[in-house]
Amino acid sequence: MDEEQAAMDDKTPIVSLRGIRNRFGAQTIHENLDLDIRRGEIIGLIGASGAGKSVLLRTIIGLNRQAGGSVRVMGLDMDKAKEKQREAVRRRWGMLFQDGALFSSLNVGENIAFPLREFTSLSAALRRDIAMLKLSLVGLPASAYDKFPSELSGGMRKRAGLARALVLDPALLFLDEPTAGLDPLAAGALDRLILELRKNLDLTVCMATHDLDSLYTVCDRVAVLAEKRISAVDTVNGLLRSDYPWIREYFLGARGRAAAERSAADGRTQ
Amino acid sequence: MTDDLSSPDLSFYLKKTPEGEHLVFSGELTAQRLDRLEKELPGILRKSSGPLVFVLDSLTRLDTAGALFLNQTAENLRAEGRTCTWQGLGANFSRLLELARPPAHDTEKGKSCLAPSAVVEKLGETVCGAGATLVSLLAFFGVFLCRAARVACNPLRLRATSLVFHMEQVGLRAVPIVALLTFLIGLVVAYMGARQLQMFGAQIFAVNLLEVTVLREMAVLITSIVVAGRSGSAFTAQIGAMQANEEISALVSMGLDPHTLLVLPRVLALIFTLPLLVFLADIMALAGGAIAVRYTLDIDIHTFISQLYNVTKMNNFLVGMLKTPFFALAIGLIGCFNGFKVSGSAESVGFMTTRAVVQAIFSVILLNAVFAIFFTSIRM
Repeated sequence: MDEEQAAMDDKTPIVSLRGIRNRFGAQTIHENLDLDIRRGEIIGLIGASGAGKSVLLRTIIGLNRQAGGSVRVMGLDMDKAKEKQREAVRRRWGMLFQDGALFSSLNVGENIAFPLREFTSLSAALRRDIAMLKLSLVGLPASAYDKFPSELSGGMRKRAGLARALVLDPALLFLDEPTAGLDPLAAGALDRLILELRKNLDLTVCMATHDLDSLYTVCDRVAVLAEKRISAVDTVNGLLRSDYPWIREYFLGARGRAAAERSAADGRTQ
Repeated sequence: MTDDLSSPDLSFYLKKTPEGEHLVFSGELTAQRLDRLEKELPGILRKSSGPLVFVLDSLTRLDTAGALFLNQTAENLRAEGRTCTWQGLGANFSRLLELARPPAHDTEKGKSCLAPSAVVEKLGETVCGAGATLVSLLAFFGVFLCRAARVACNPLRLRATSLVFHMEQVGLRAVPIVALLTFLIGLVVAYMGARQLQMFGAQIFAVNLLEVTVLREMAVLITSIVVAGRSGSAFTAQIGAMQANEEISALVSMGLDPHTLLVLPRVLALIFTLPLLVFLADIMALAGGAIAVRYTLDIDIHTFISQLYNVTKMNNFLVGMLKTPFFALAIGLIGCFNGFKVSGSAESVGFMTTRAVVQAIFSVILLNAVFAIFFTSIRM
């Protein structure tokens, strides 16, 4: 990859959605939805419950076929591309599902090494070492390696799921409600972990979230899913100046203000 | 731009220079391209000696797996007393190499499973586990009896709607399958018996054979096994799903008793309906037998009925019927018991359901053997 092309690459969005339409029965979830995700950013996806955040993530990674519009990931139109190219793209992204989605019949280590076992022909010892490394990268103790998913707490399952999503060093990471169901300390630790990983692994992260603290501390930009489309994409501070009622209520409600104060206080102490 | 999907393959070679040996990498060093390196590098390294320089100048991409492997290789070489240095580390690569420190090698676990002592240990564990299960099943039975006694004192406590609902589910809905299966069993027993007895010219005794096998054993056993598979498993799955969803905990937190609410109606429904099902099974099996002898031995329906009337003592029928409430109790209790044993995950619902069916069928057959000895010794 020469310099010029690399520079150009940096400008083209890593994910580009155009005119997405999703429909379940008579109910329209998305209509004419556009979204660009830039390389290297952490973008938050917010919206009321049932606004279709998860559906949008599932549409991008191809678990849900959109009724209309196009999905381009890493420059590739996912509907027109050949199966081989799509497979190559799939190996360059990772997805963390809400509850980790760990395979219950495998232990944590085997879960993390699963993509390695399927997609590479590395020796078992090296696979084990890579899995071990990812385990420590997401902040889990080595003793978690031999445990089964049912023996882990919700937060640990999420971290293990994150380790599995990261095992092939994806360029693009999707997180579905990464901090939901975690206590504030664990949620904060996960936020810091995401920032750390982004810095070290050149990740682009797209996270659907309800967590206002995450939005303030982690996200470079926030996309607001309302009225069946992305009605605003901006930094948190930019959105605060928006006069869109739902956004104002979201950020300027009691919880939103508390999160803003916390983030400001963090900024001062650092 | 799709270039980051079709980037160049990894290549590597050893170059001897005045200041030492250089291991030169180019292309992509990522998990997906690492396998060739892992296989070939030990051979290349064996040919070299002295200080080694890893040259990464023309490496386009490095991921944590690749960095980990490089770190491990360097560490192994250093352990042999050779010096390793890096050349062409950008800021990115050195950060990755820093990040991907090889994990400390713990002693290999899990291999001791094959040791003879581990087999004995597993055996002991299994036996103790079975013993503990039996004890807690007995405790469960005790709780059930207490609740049943309390409800008997005050019948209004019984959940009538629930009872009727479960009677429909386990009784009425099981009629077609039980009727069909026992009809076929009766058919086969009479047919096979007739074929054998024909050789002695004693074909009429096929009716006697049918009467004793079907009324005493077969109808009860087949019906109980079908019900264990149908309803025992359903009980486990229903209660297990409630357990996994914390519905049972919600009931207890409201001060309600899950035994009275969930177990009692289910087990009572089985106790009430299984005898009815077995009675139906008796009729269907005899009907199947009648048809079999009609077509193989030319014994018409009237002869069949009069022969049946002559040989039937109430004994066999009663023995069959007396067993049913006990079988129903065993099936119901085991089904509900395993439901309560479900822990959290959806996976354990499936696991417990399988266990419930196996245990229920096992206990039905075991109880049947005990009853066979019992009824013979009281000459019934």
